[in-house]
This record gives sequence, C-alpha cells and structure tokens, in this order.
Amino acid sequence: MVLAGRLGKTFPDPYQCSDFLRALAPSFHNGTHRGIKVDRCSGLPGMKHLVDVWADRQTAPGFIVEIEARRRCGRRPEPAIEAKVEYYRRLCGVPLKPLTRVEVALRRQDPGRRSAFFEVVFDRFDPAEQIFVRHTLMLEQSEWERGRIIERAGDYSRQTSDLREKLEMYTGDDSEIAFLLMGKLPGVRVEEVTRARIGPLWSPAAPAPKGWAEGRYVLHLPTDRASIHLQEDRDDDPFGGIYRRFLSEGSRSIVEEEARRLGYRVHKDRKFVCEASAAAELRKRLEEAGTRNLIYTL
Amino acid sequence: MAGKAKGAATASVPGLVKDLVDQFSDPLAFYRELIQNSIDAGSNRIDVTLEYDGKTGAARMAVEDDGEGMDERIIDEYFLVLFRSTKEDDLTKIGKFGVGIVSVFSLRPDLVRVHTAKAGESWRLDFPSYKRYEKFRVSAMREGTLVELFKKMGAGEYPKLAEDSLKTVRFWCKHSDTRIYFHDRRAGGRPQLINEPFTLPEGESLRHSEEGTEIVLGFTGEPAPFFGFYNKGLTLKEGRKEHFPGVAVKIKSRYLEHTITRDNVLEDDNFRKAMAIVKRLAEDELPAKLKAELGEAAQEIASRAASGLKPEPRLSERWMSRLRYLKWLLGGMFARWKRSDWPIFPSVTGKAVSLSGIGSALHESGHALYLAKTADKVALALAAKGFPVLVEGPWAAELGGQWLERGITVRDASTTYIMPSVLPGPKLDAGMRAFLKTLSGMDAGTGAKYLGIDMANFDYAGSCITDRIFVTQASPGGLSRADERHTPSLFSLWRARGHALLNADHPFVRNLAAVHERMPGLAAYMCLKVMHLNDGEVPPDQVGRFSNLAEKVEAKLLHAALRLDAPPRAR
Repeated sequence: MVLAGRLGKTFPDPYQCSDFLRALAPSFHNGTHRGIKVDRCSGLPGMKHLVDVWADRQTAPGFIVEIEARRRCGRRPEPAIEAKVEYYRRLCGVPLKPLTRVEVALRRQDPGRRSAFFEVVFDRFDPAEQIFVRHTLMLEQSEWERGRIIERAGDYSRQTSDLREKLEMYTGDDSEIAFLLMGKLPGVRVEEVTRARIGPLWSPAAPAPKGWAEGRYVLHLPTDRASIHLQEDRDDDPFGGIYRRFLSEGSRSIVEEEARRLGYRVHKDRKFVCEASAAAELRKRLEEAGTRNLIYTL
Repeated sequence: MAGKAKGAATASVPGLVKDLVDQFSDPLAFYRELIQNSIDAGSNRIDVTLEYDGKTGAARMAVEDDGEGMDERIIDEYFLVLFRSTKEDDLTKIGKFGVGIVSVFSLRPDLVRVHTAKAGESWRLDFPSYKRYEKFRVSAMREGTLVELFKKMGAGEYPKLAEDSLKTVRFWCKHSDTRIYFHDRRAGGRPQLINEPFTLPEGESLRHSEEGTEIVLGFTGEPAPFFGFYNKGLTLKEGRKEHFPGVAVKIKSRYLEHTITRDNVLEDDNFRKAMAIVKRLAEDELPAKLKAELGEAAQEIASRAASGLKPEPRLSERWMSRLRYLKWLLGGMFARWKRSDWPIFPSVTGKAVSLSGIGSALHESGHALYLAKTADKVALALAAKGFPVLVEGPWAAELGGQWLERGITVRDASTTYIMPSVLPGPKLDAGMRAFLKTLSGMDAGTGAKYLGIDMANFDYAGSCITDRIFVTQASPGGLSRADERHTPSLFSLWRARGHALLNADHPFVRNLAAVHERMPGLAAYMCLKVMHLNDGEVPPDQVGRFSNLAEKVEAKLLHAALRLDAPPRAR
C-alpha cells in the first residue's frame, strides 16, 4: 500500500518504510517477533516493533558471525536460533536507515546577503501519532548571526545539536507552526516547511470512523505545506484544517498578521491508497466533505 | 476542461530553438533530459514506458514521475521559457540551463503531450512541434508529471526504437539515485529496474561520501583508466583517460554539470572542486589502501609459494593492476624511502617483504636478487643464507629497474644454483653400488681427478640439472652455483679438485651401470672419459693445444680399464 501511493521525496522514503514493515511480517522474521501490537489510532505497528527491527539490523552481523563460529566448532544451533539467523541474514540484505535522522544539504550561497540556503530533511516515526513523518524545510540562514543552527564551511554544512533539538520541539504539529517557530530563530528565514506522513492506516484492527469504508484497508497519506511560494491558502484535507482557522479571534489575528509579514500560505492535502472495493465509498465521502483528493487503488 | 490557451513555445527566437533542438546528436537523449527533470522534481520513482498502437501506427514513449509537478506559474514562467530555470545555482539540482525540454523535439515527434499538476491544478500541454503549443486546464486530478511523445512509424521500426530506448536509458541513468523502471508494453513482462550499484567494473578500493559527493576509486593496470562523472547518478560523461595513473574513478557529485551541448562536463570552478576531492583521496587515502591490498596479495602469494604452490594468476593480476599506481607513488627517491617499509613483495619464505628488507639482503647476496616459482630447496637454502629470494612475478622487473640501488642483478634461483642430494650407498642397488666403487677406484688409480665420486638425485623441485650426467661440487650435496667450474689440474699449479656427483637417474649412467656387470673396465672408462671431457673449461688462449683429457691421462684410464676387463689369467 505504501508503494502504491506514488510518494515523492517530500514523503518519508516509501521503500524504507515498506522495508521496516516488511521485516515485521512473519514470513520475513520466521517467528522471531512474537506478535505485533498495532496502534489502534494509527493502524500501524507500534514504535517499539520498528525499533526492534532497527536493533536487530544492528545486531545481525555480529550474531551471524558468532553462530557461524560455533557451527565451525561442530555446535549445531537450535532450530529457533537457525530461524533467527535466517531472519538476520535476510535483514542484512535490506538497506535500512535509522528511523530518526536529519539530513542537511547546502542549496546555494548568497555572498551579497551573506547568507546560505539549506534544505533540511527530518525523518522520524512520530511517537505521538505512531506514523512515519518527514519534514522538509527550506531555510535561509544569515552568516551574521552567532549561534547558527547549521554550521557551514565553504560548501559543506554541518547540523548542530541545536538544530536537532529545535526540529524535535517544533515539528510535532502542522507545518505552519513549524514555519512560525523556526522563523523566530535568530538569523533564520524560512521559505518552506512541508510535512508529509504515511498513516494512519484504517483496517479491521484500527477501524475507520463510522461511514468511512469501515472494516477496509485505507492508507492515509496527508501533506501540509507552508510556503512563501504559494499564492493562496488551500485546504483539501478532510481530516484536518488550517491551523489559523482553529484559533480564537484574538489569537488568529496575531497569527494572520505574522503570516502576512512572513509572506507564507498553507496547502493541506491528503491522498489515499485503498482496496478497490473501498474506493467508491471513500470517494463519495470525500465529495461530501468537499475536498479534492487522489485515491489510488490496489 | 476548464480553460485553453495557445502560444508559441519558447517563443522569441525560433532559429535559436531550432539550433537547440538540432544540437542533440542522439534523438533519444530526451530520456535523459526528462529523467533529469523528474529527479529534480523530487521523484522517488520514474517510469519509462513504450508501446506501439497498430491502429494509429504510432509509437508512444512516456516518462512519468511522482515528483512535485508544475502549476500554471511554473509552466508559464519557467517551463515554456528557454534559459529560465527554477534550479539555477541550486547545488541540490542537476538541471541548470532551462533547455532540457526542447530535446523532446529532436526525435521529430508528431506530438508531445505534457500532463502535470500541482497545488490542486492539473494541466495538459500539447506541442505539435517546437514552434507552438496549446495549454489546457484539466479537471481530472493527477500527481507528478507525465511527458508523452507520439511518433508515427512502421511496426517493423518499433523493436529497434524500444531496444535503443532501453540502451539509452540504461547508459544515462544506471546510477540514478531515483529508481527508474523501463517497460516495453509491446514486449510484455514486468517493468525492469534500470538502476545498477555505483561500483567500478574492476572492483573498488576506496569509497568516499561527503555532502553532495560520492566517489569510488579502484586500481587498474590500464594505461587509460575508466572514468565516469555523474550528478545524482545521471551519467554526464564516461570514458578512458588518465586522471591519476593506474586509478579508475567514478564521481557522483553536485559539482558536476553537463555543458549545454551535453557532450562533455563543464570544467568550471565546481568541476575543479570535485577533482580536488579526488586528488586529495588519491594522494592521501589511496596509498594506505594500496599498502594494505598489495600487502595482502603479496602475503597470499608468499604463503602459496611457501606451501609449494605456484602463484595463482588472479593474485598476480591483482598485484599487477596496482603496479601503475605504485610506480607513480614510488616515483621519487623520497617517496620510495618513505614507503620502504611496506611489506608488499612476496618472498619464498612465506612472508611479504619490504624494499628496505630486500635492500639489506642485497648486501648479503652481492647485489643479486633471486627469484623462484615456489619455495624449493635451492630457494630456501639461499634465503637461509640471508639472500633476497622473491616469488617470480611482475614486481621483479620493477625492483630490478629503479626501485633498488643501481647495479643489482636479478637471477633465477633454480638456474643459478644447484643442490643435488647425495644418495648414500645403502640406498643404491647393488649394481650401481659396484659401478660406483669401480669408478672411484679407477679415478684414484689414474691420478685422482676428484676428491670423491658419489651417486646423487638431480631431480628435485626446480632443478636445472635433471638432464646433466654429472656435476662437481666443492661440498657434495650442498648449495653451489650451477656454473661453478673447477680449474683443471692441467692448468693450475694447485689442483682445485671437487667432488663428482653422478646423476643416478640419468639413462647414460644407468646403462653404464648395466654394462658394468659384464665389462666393469669399459663402463668405468667410458664414464670417467665423459666426465673428464666435460669437466671444466680450457682457457680460451690454449684451445687447440690442450683438451681436458690429456693423452697420458686417457692412456692411464684405458690401461686401468683393460686390466679390469682382462680375463683373470691375463692380469
């Protein structure tokens, strides 16, 4: 379902995510993982299981070497250990990356403004929502400021612990909030923040709300973007709304003023992947909700 | 459809557009350009699809991505305007010039159709030619961009188009960071993944990654090593040229760009930055890899030789493929001195030795470097004397050239030295033992040319004397030079006598031993005569006056033989 969603680079790497999920399949792990607890809200395996896969991946090479050494000494492993070795071997063939990681790339420099433009990609498995999330931030950072969140030497950039800390703190919610908060950091001008998520997954284990293709498999792929390159606000997410609109009158005017000053607009969108049999019902409900959404069927 | 607009594509300078279209020498180069745009648009997967419609008689070539797509502003302000690109100066993008899209016209298609969407807008653009387009707002939602080319052709032409398309996509995109699938629908089957691992054909020795750049370096014996330049994995140029002697290189870097004509890499400041990284690696990090890999190969060759096994061709090739770089590295005196402790030369003792180790041993050997195929007894005896004995291989020529001090000679150990094994009496059969006794007796009775005569085994591993009848040695069974000659007594005041060792397995010796049973005198006479005639050299200025077998000596031998063979009553 993840791969059927036609996910571009703003989304968490679909191949990575599907590899993590695939590793939890009994056919893959040979019974090494005893049962998977699915989060009732996200419909995806709990974070613990994904961390287990990552830990197994780290442990696997050493474990295999040790078992092979024992085998050479004539000690035949127990069937359970054999099954584990087979799982570990399979896991070693999967190019997994850490669940949480930050990548920074220098886009260009502007010597005139003494600033540099960066692309920051922050991947994680959101512990609150229990879904895969990627934030992509386009930032300009002034070279005049001290205590920069991204260090630069020539064409090389280096993320600081400060950057990671700020990302952890500011990206728990809508991209607009991250835009506003990151934009308040000294010397930082935000051009764009995109948040794209894989999940939730409606399924018999994590049912959909009443009337929304209940009991079927429907994967949500929501995106929200706050960007200075957008011309207007647009909300095509039937399960979310633009942050400002949920605020009280007083707070909203402050945020709207800030949005005008920073010159950004927000787009919210959500696409779906579902079983073919669920598509018509889903489409109908989306029309009723008044949003335009793409539905990919399996 | 909600709206329709018309216009002239890339409007203002039609002649220039035509020139740009014509500059693409390969009409299928548009695949590369479209895939490049798709990668820059942030795609995770790109699908290249071909099909042929028999009814319309047209082939359809399509490149579809799941990237960002375009809204009307991007279409109007960038996509349809030549030399305008949203990606200018952006180190995270490949495209820079804003001319890639015109490449689709170099195939002279009947129609180019672009479907794209962004921010809730979906668009379709139809280009009947590069001169004009029609733009439609489309109500159906979509994601990413799909570019379709339609070209009328005979059904028979299609298979070649499909084959060339696959070849083109594979050449330009094999190392792409984005997954690319190729599907010829007419041929059926599943889409095939084009991507290949970013490795060197002859194997890699060093892999380096840093922000925006990935480099693999490998050693090669080729005078013009392979090089490949890529940006985000798209091929910019591949070829053969010596950037560093004996080093093949693949560079995937944000710094590398095509020239506008797409036939070369732009050699600007950014290119020099990328090459500076390669230079740093080749000079600072590669030597350590070379030391380790040559050392490993040398050790493996040495171990095999010590076990009596000849060098495996693959090991010698591995060493050889690193020779060009090693020669470059050891080009100067200081460089050689700095690396003189590298154990990279296989010795027959089972260890890899260094230049300085060989240099010290050369003082023991009188500046002679010895080579052997395996650790035979001669090689080991030489090594035991402290002589440098290496396994035969390509390193010998280089060591004999300029890496060691001048005036050294390189010699084959087994043809320079001999080491037959003396066969003690009890190991000989009775006939041979009797023959040996007669020989010794006759030699002693006719002037004792030899200190002693023994039977020996000449057939040891690496032996160069298996076909010799006899040799003389100062110390029987010891190590001696194969060309060692004792000055015949005839020309010397002091008799320089040696021990004679007869080749017990030589047919001549065996035949004489058989004759000895019936005519011991004749057998011994024949044998000693041959030994006298072949032992030592007559000084050049006395050739003609003397031979090794003086008449009076021969007479003595003959008399002794006749005595031995005479019937008992005649003695």
